[in-house]
Amino acid sequence: MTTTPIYLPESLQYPIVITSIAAQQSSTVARGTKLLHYSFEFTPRRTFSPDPAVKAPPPKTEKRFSSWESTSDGVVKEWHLRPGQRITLKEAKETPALTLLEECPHSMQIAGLCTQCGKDMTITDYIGITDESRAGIRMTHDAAGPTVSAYEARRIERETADKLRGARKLILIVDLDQTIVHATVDPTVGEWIAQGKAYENRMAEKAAAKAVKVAALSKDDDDDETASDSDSEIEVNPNWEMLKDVAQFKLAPEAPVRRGKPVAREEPCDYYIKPRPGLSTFLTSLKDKYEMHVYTMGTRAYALQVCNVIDPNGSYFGGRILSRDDSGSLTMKHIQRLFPYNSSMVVIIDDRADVWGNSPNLVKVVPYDFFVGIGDINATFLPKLPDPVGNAAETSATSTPPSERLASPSNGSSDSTVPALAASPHTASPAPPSTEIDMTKGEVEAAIIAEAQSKAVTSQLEERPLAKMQKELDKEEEREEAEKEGGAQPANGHLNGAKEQNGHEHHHHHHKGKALLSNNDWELERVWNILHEVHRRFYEAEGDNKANSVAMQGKGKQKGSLAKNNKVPDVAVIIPALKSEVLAGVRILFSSVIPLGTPPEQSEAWRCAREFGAKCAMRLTDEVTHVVAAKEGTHKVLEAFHKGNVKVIWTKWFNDCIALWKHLEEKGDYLLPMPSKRTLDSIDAAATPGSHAGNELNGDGDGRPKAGPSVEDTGTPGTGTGTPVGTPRMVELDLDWDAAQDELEAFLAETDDEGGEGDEKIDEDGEDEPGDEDDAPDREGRDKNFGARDMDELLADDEAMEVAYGEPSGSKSVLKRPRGGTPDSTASDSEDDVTPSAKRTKLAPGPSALNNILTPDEETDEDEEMTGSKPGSIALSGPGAENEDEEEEEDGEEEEEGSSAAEGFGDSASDDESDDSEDDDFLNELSAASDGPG
Amino acid sequence: MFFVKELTHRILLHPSYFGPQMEKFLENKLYADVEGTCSGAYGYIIAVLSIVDIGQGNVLSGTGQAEFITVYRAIVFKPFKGEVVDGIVGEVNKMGFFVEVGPLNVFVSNHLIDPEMKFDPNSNPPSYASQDQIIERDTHVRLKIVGTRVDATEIFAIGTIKEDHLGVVE
Repeated sequence: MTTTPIYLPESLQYPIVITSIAAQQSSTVARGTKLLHYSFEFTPRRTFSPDPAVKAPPPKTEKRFSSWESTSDGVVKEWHLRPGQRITLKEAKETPALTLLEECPHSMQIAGLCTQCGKDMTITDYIGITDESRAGIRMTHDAAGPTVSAYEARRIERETADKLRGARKLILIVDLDQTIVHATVDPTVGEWIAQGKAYENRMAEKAAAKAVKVAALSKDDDDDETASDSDSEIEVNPNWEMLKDVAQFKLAPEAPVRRGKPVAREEPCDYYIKPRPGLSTFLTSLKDKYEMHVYTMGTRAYALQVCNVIDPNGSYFGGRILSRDDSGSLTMKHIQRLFPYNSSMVVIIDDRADVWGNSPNLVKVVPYDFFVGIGDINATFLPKLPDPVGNAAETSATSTPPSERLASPSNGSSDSTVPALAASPHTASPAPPSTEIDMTKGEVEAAIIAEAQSKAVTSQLEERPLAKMQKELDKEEEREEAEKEGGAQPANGHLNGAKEQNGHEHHHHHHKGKALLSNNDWELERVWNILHEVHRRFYEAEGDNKANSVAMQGKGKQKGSLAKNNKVPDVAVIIPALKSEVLAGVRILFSSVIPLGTPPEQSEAWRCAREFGAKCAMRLTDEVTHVVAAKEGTHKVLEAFHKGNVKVIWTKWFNDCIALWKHLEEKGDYLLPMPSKRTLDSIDAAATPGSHAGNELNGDGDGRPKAGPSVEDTGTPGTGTGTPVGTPRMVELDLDWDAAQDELEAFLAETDDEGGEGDEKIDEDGEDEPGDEDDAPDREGRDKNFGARDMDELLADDEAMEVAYGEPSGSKSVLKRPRGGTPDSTASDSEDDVTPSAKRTKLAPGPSALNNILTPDEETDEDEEMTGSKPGSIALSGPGAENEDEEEEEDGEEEEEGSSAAEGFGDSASDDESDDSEDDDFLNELSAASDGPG
Repeated sequence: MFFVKELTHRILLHPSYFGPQMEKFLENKLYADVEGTCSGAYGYIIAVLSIVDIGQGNVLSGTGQAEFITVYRAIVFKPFKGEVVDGIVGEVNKMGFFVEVGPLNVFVSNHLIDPEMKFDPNSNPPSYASQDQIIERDTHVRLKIVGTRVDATEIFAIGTIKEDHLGVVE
């Protein structure tokens, strides 16, 4: 007998007024027995009279009566309502109408039967509510298992938790593919294994033969010779060593489902499973600390086979296997599927964070990529992870943020399936044709996935990527041998496989260019350490709690304070805390990492950095300790080098730190090469304080030494009279004319087809433009004009402006150039300020000289509004300076250009100078003021 | 419960089978078609005992196939509420365990297990154990069926071992 609170159904026409109670207290009710009578206000729908002239009378609300019937059997224990009471929907939801003493609450059901009373739950009648809805939570691994009610689920979880606490254990959810094993169907592996086995056999035979010979030493000498001959012939496959522990099983490929019926099954194919190095030790040593569950995106048959390989007697997982078939979602994994209410003791290890929606319980592992380039054979329908960035070699304007591989589609529901499928390269097949309209949406999805899956498998079977790679490798080896190169081995250590595109190379070197595969992987060791730490902390907190509560009870304190201190330890708190210790104390400035057009706070890189305890800066301040750059020569990088005490490192460092949960030493490959003195000088010059680069230039013109003094000048407003004539000479210092020429050409080409070639992000901005223009015709409009113009036109204008120079008011009207944001755009985080800078990049993608020259003016603008209060720090060269925080990529370009320069620069210079006129008055004032001391 | 029941089955025979071996073929076809199936009305058809009447082959116009309405006697197994049966334990989990009673799968929930028997997730294989008894995969148990649900082609059942003389069978 259980007491169940019964609520009024939401389907009644609220508000209702109770007229009488039909089933009095302690009366027995059955399904369908009237519990109470109520009345409600009913407004009939407005009727339209056929004659439009006669207006239909407004519908009259009338009082109607109805009754509420019981949906379950039992005895009424207590009523919480009384006749005459008026009840609204809200009240009905919040407070139970009555409590019922039930024979069976049907809290656990299986196959439509209550597991306690054996009653059929599927019976439907006029009441419309079946008892099946009372147990809707599936928390068993197997999809055929029972479902439970929320109450029952909590009870089971509580029991489980108590048991685990007693055994000082936590729960570990383990992913299979690329986390603890790597699987492939490439038949090449089978051949290699066969070769290896044949080799072993021959070796064994030979050993046996030798033994025989030793026994009968005197007999014949001929045999001996032949044996040694064959010895030289035998050549083992270079990959055999690594393939020794690869397991093999046959599995029928997933039959694509058409119209709900599986198509004829194909031949079963061989699957090859490579356990991650150290797996058995890993599992054995975790067995006492964790209750382990498997949660994989593979099919049930596959999961069982793999577990048969890694856990042959079921001592680790013991049937706790959850596969894609049981999961209920094809693209996401949810802790709630197994632990619906309490996930405070659950740790997850998986190579993909996105499928978990970046759960705080997740310990992300570096994907295991043993069969090089195969990837996850069971994740072909998931969105492909973007390549990790930060590879110095291939930095480009299109580089993706480092952490985007951690990016998640994050719309956790299953509706993400369709876009996800679209993203998968294997699902080239179009959506099912309309003839299959009778299939439900889920069936269609399943069919698509099965098809994609089988396609992927087939392609692997046919294309044999490994054989290809080995061939290439052999070729390369030959070439290398020809060149007689020693080949320095990169220190890859832990990071083996961290970068898929690098993985290949790494493997090469490790085996002297011989074997494609490699056993170098220590990821499980690292994960093991983390898991141990989590376990230690959890039970340390638990121990504290116990001690506390004992102490509290001793002192007889109140319950409230007890509960307060007695906070249940939670893995979802411990893991983020662990993470945040990794980069604690580090203050990062990103350069060329965060894509344009995204507010930096919302970017993945930013989020990751915060998650791992680092603080992020928008621009180079004194607190910044690390500049993380995706390419060389960006403005921030140069500036950081100039500043000296800041570590300037590749994004690879950042990625690796995050992947390994370790503050790696900033040295070796991670460091950006020091730029040449000249480049640095140029930045000095450009960045000169007060940023009066303009003034500085002028000063130069006045005969000051080249850019040298800028360092001392830091913080003081530039000197100079504002005479623009000097500019050209100043920039001449460090121009690489060839590069400049190239850039100019590139710029010209780019301006012509806006957005066509540019990087995507910039394109997006381009789309925004018209709107922006409307919003801020003043500034944005000019920006646009500038970009839209042809270079020629621009130059022509420049001449005009030069002429106009000196007549500020006049030239102002002609001015068409990008202007920096206002100071608050520099400082604020608002999304708005992204646009101008981003746009500028688009509009003026590469006009190096122009940028350089535009600088002074920009700076002045800024100063004007900031009243020169911020001397050196903000005043940077190039328009990038103002929006430095966002424009990551942009500033790179500008800097490169700044360090070189463009042809025809004189013209552009004058353009700039004429631009200056806009702020001329102020500028003059300012320079006059600053001139004083100088 | 087991019954001997007279049942009918309709066999369509292709003309290529018409000939001296036809009866033998019809018998085999009958066995293959009905044995091991489950009908909601009669339960699982365990075995065909005898063929009462092989039927007259009526040739259908249009296809040329012969239609035989075969009458046969078979052993059927239909579980009933309240029936006590023996079975072999299959999967065991924290919510209960499954018992294979011949072709029928019965679920015994942890509510209907003696409270003294506790689920032990750390045992391998997982089990319910008390001081003197243990229920794990392949254990023989006696249980009472507390409820069944009959589909057109499937039967589900719930069992209990929380009564006298039920549980592990030595």
